[in-house]
Amino acid sequence: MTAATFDNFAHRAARREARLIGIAIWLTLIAGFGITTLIYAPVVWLGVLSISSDPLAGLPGSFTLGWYYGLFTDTRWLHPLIVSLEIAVAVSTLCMISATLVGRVLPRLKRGRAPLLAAFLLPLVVPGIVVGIDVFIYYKMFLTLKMGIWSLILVHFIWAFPFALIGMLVVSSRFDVRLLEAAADLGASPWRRFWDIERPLLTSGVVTAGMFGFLLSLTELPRSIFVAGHTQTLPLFTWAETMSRGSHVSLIYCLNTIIAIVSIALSVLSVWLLGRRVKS
Amino acid sequence: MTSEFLERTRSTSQAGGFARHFAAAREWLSSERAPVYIFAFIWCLGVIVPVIISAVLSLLKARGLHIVWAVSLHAYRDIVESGRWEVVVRTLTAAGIVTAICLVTGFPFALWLVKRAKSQKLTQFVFMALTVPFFLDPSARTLVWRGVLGSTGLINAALMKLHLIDAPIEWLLFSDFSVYLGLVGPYFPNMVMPIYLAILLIDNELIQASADLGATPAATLRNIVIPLAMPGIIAGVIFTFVPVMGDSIVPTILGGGKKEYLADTVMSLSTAMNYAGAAAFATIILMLTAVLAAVFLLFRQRMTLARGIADRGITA
Repeated sequence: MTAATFDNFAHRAARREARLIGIAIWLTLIAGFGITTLIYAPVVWLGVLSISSDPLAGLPGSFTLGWYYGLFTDTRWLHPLIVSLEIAVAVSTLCMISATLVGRVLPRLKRGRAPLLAAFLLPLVVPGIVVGIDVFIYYKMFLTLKMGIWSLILVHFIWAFPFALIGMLVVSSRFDVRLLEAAADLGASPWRRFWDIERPLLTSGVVTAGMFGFLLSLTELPRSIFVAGHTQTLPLFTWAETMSRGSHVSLIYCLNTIIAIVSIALSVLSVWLLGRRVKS
Repeated sequence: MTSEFLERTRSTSQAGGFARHFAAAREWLSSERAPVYIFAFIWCLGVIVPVIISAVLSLLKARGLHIVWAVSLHAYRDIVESGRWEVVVRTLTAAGIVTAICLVTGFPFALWLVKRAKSQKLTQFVFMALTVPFFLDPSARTLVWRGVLGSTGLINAALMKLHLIDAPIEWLLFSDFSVYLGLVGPYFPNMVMPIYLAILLIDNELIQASADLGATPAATLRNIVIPLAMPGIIAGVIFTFVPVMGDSIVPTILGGGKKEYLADTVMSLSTAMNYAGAAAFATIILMLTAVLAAVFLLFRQRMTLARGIADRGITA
């Protein structure tokens, strides 16, 4: 084999390899973005159906904002929404406090960091239905407590805390402890050290923890089903309407379109906030 | 955690009385790590204990909300005798298929996202797009699939209008297909995120070095990227498989009630107030999770062991 033919051969092999890689990348992108579309297509379609004059028809014919006006006349959704907001605010506050208390110290602990983190993140790998039924059995059957808003707050908190903690740790694990030591050397009191140095640097983590808690609570369903008692949250209202195959499907579409838009806006905002803090 | 505290109180108890105890306790309480341990204690009491108690209940009998304090394997025998173990098999199959789809598509996607995506903006956009689904109402976004896949839904209506089909395709909704379709999307981020983070930690120089030494891209992928991304892959598989196994919303809305999945069974048992039975199923789900995690950890240990032996073989 002469040097020239060998060169030619190597060149062709390299070209074939590049082409194969190109095909692989295209397949990857089609699959990846295709599945991402599977997430968002239903949300977009939800919005389309909410303004379709016949939401039960396959192809939307004409569009109307009438269903949204209907929200003012049929206000059964209002009470569940208020309950949901109350719970979400409580969970959000709990998340902010606990994520701050735990998240700011956890990266500095000398012992027991890994098992503690594992215990806190455990709900991420326990299916919601298991948390729901277990909380019900323990608090209702063994401790004979009445289910209600408090048990909803509890299960929502169990679900949201790992996310809030992660949001906090993203910020706090980059925190330079030497700043606090320097402040102590300069005679700052513990409270002043926290307020003047830690607080400003950790604020975005606290805000993220609160937003995660709020959003996860607002849309939580699988755990709520078991522990709601007679309380009805907005997702439970949606769920009940879905299961009864009622004729109020247009109401559900409108309501959830609004909720989805708010959720998407808030979550984009909180992730963006966190990203900006990490970069700077 | 409390050993330090106990030690300190013990050492002071000989010298002084109650005042010393009190001072030591106050000092510990005012330290900054005290809230973490206190919170961890409450967390265990409120979250970990219920799980244990439920496992205990599954071994007891229950009549409605009342517990009969007699040990019995009744709930588990029921599962075998009523043929409900089929539900376990069906759920595991579904979870396995959905996880496999997510892994096969998610791994290359994560790899592209870290190593090939050209602009920072695009990466951020995709990252954002994969975070938002955690905050969407599961029932609302699943319910819409009925309007898309149903016999009068979007797809059938469009195909009929184009005269591609004469009768609506029935298997699109209330079938295994619709359940898988409804599950793949929402749990895709659970797979991509951990793998993305693991690949992010792989040094570009390692990949470059492998290429410089003459390895084909396939060989680099097999010998460098996949082993280093393994922790992320394992985390992704667990984070996908486990919640899919326990998802109660998608199978109920898109399964049409013809075939039961694990979560349906837990719900119907709890509606029928058979709480011992529901607890047994919840315990089975947890056990399956634990087994899955253990298998993966062992697998990983053996892999590192094998690599250690191989490395020593090369140097010897």
